[in-house]
Amino acid sequence: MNRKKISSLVLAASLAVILICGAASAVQMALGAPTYDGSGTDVTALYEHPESYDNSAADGVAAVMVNENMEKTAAKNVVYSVVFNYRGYDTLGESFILIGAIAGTMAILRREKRAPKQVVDYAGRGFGETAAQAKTDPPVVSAGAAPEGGRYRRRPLIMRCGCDFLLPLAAVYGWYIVLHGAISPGGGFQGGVLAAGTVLLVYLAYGLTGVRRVFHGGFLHASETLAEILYVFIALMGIFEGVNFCFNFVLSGTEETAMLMNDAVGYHVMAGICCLLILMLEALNTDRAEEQQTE
Amino acid sequence: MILINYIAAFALIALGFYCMAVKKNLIKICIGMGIADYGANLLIVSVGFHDGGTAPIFTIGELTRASFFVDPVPQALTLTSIVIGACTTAMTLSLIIRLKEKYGTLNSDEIRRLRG
Repeated sequence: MNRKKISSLVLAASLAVILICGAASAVQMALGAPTYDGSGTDVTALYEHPESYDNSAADGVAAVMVNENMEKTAAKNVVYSVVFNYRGYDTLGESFILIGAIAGTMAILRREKRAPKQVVDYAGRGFGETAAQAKTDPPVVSAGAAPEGGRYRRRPLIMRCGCDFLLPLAAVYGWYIVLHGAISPGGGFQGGVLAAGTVLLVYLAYGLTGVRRVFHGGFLHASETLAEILYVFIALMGIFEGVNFCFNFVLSGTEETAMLMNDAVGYHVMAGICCLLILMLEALNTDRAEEQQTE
Repeated sequence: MILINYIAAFALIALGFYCMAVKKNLIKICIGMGIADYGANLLIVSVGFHDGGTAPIFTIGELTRASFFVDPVPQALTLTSIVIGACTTAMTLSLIIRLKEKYGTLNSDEIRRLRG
């Protein structure tokens, strides 16, 4: 009891310290100048004549990046050129973090194959299952037993109709954000996650059976690697022109290459998050529990 | 105006730490991690914000002579931070799924007790 009291006292004291330090530094930071004072930059002149813009007064890394952006990368979105050109290595590592997270989740959620039925349930489309296994074990068609409603457990009508209506919108909107990222806020990371949200819509409407039939987990997992290779390939194209990794390799300077890397990252994130969601939904295993209940 | 952002960021971080330290439910601990993460993201974005600035995009039709950019670097860093936060949340949730399967409970005290 006494020990508990002491620990809660320590906790309260540390939380108070965090709050007080936070408030003090908040006031300090709000009074100070912003990290980058952009008001001295003539944006229109910078856009129209990037070569002749006077860059001598630039102080700080952000000012240099903004002033040199149009001339060196030709990207209209400065955040984009920072992410894909100036900090290209960082984005590469970030994509590898996503791959690592998915590999870790796969390793944690991996289940031993106990009964053959659990293996065949995937019908040759699941993770970690070879084609030979799928061939030797004939797929169990669970729908054969069900008199009506096909393979799916009947979901509520409103859910199905709503998801049928929203599915194309979600997919198109996600890819709109990815492809439009060069000239508007958004881009590969955000749009990829939005496009991957379609997995959840399919799950809501058609259950885990629907997700398994529509999405090919192995293909999505391979897509991740493909997108990563694509990113490195596009970034490496510059070395044939004699410039650095992630540099804008189009020599004319009017086209941006960040857009291509952005698309690769969008593909990567979409495939990766789809993989994650499918893994987690399969771990929840709701359909099998429902089937057992009805049986 | 920017003061509100900073105070909210630190309040979110403190709230997240409180959740992680006090709550026994594993899902709530995961939520606390997420809240602390969002607080840090808000802090990073606020550092680069400048009153009256616009998004650093050369959409020349919408820009005027008077408009200026905010700092693009913290925004790019926040992008990294968000992705890492999502990855850690996914890992945590899968660990929680495994723990729930193994021990049948989400209470962290009971899980520790079961181990002996």
